[in-house]
Amino acid sequence: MIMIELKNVEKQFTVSRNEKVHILHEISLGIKKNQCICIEGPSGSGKTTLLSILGGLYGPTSGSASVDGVKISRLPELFLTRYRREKVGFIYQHYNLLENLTVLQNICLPLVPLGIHPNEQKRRAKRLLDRFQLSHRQEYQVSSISGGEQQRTAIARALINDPPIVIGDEPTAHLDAELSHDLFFHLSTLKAEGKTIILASHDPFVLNHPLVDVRYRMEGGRLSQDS
Amino acid sequence: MKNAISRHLNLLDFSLLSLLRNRLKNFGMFVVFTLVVFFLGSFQLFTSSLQFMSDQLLENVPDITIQQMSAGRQINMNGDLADRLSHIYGIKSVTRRIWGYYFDESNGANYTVVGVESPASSFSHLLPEGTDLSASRVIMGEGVERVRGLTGRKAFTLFRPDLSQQGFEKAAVFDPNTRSLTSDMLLMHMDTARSLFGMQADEITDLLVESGNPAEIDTIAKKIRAALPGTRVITKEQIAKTYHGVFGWRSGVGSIALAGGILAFMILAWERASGFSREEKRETAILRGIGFQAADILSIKIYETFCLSLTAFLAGLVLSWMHIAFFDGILFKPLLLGWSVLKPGFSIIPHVTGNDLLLLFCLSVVPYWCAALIPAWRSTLVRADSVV
Repeated sequence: MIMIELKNVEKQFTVSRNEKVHILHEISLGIKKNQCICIEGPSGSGKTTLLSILGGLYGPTSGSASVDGVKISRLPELFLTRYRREKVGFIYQHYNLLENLTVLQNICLPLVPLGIHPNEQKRRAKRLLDRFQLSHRQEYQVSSISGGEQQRTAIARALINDPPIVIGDEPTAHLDAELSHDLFFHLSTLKAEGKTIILASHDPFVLNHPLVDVRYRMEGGRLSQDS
Repeated sequence: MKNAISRHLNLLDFSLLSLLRNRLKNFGMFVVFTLVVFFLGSFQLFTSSLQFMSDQLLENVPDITIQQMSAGRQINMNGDLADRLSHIYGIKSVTRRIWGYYFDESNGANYTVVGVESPASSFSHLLPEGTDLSASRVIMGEGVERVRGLTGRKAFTLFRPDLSQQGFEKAAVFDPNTRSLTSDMLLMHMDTARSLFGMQADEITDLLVESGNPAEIDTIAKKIRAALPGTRVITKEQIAKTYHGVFGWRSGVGSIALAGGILAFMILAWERASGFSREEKRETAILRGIGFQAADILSIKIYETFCLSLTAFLAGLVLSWMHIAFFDGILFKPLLLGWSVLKPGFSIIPHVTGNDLLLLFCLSVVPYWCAALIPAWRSTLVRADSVV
């Protein structure tokens, strides 16, 4: 059953009054629940733009994007924020952690606007801290921990709301081989839990990983399925 | 509803955390804000206290004061002149008084000496019940008692103009709550005062007139001028105008200086609040990306602004109160009171009204909120995709 569906998605950005950049062309895509897909392609091909539309960071210029039958491409900002909060765990390429907060505070951040009591926030975060072997670092400022720990913190933050969709933009870009293996161990567990995983990468390790069910190639803003 | 409260408590918690995270920047702002409120508050409390004290003084001023003049200067007058006022309709009472100043050379202090016919005169409400001013008994202000070192004893002497000594007995001390009026005062019987100043029998310094109807004071004053040519007739309103004039121009100078300070503070607040750094923009975009709504971001910014401004306001207010109550408004005293070496010292009674607090709030917190609100609103426009 298709969970995420894009139909003829186009995305343009206005650079100046007379200049527009056409990033995505006629993208159509269907992603089944619990599937792991990977979009490969060179830098500037439009991978991140596509992930941003799937993650509800912004809408397409034309075409439609639906998740569980809801057209997120037509949602007003208020509901799009709710979609991001409830449906998507986004692991950014540069982690995007708040550096002068502790690991624990970063992980709990998505729960703040939900009105969840701090004790419950800590209880939920504790599970993730244990799972990602970060318990000993929970009171450390993010700026003082290693790259691998930062990435695990970013994953934990993405999962604290237990979202059904996990999106990773170049998740191994700053990791060595060992940490990349660690990451995929965690992603495998998430897939086993029934989550849908969408990755964008040009790292052969990711592209050839057995966890990936379907590979797509993005070039010049056009998407095609890899053989 | 419960969820909304929990959500806002979480956002408030995050705001406090955010203030602590940027403690250097926020502490700087806190210090400047506190100083602005401190100066503004001290000035306001000082002028308000002076106003309160001058109102207290004016309460004790008679409706009309009459003084004999000669060559443009005040001279002593004969007490019998009071009888020439008895025919003026509207006069309730005429009281004879001796009012003068005694310079205590050994202490470098200046005392106000008041001689009255009986304590049941205009000072009766300031005196302990049953106070007797017979013989050489004196009621003194706490300043005089302190300067003369009379805490543990009663007898003391003062010099007459012919350098002979006159003995006095401390009968009582005025209530410290009336110190604005009585701190430097020696209240005694008129005969005792005459003896101290070497005045002739029946000589007085002024006549005090109480009218039956305050609306008639000016008319009565006119009639007194006609009945007693060569006298100066001063109404209560004229004295009030003099008081307000003395402090008014000084407080005006202070107000102009402080207005400049407030303007500079507003500019600083605007600079600080609108200085939306790259890091702040990134942080806002991250929060938007993980599910904070624009209203959440606005709430955080508003809570930050409220916490900082209200704590600084309270700190500034407490400091300004301490400045007036415990340090006698030392920073503003030279500007608002002038400079004097005469003792007993002038002690300010701190006095604050709801209006003063409201004015302070409007001059410090409200401009800061205005300066911070637009940048706070601008921060909500940061898009979630800015960090991608």
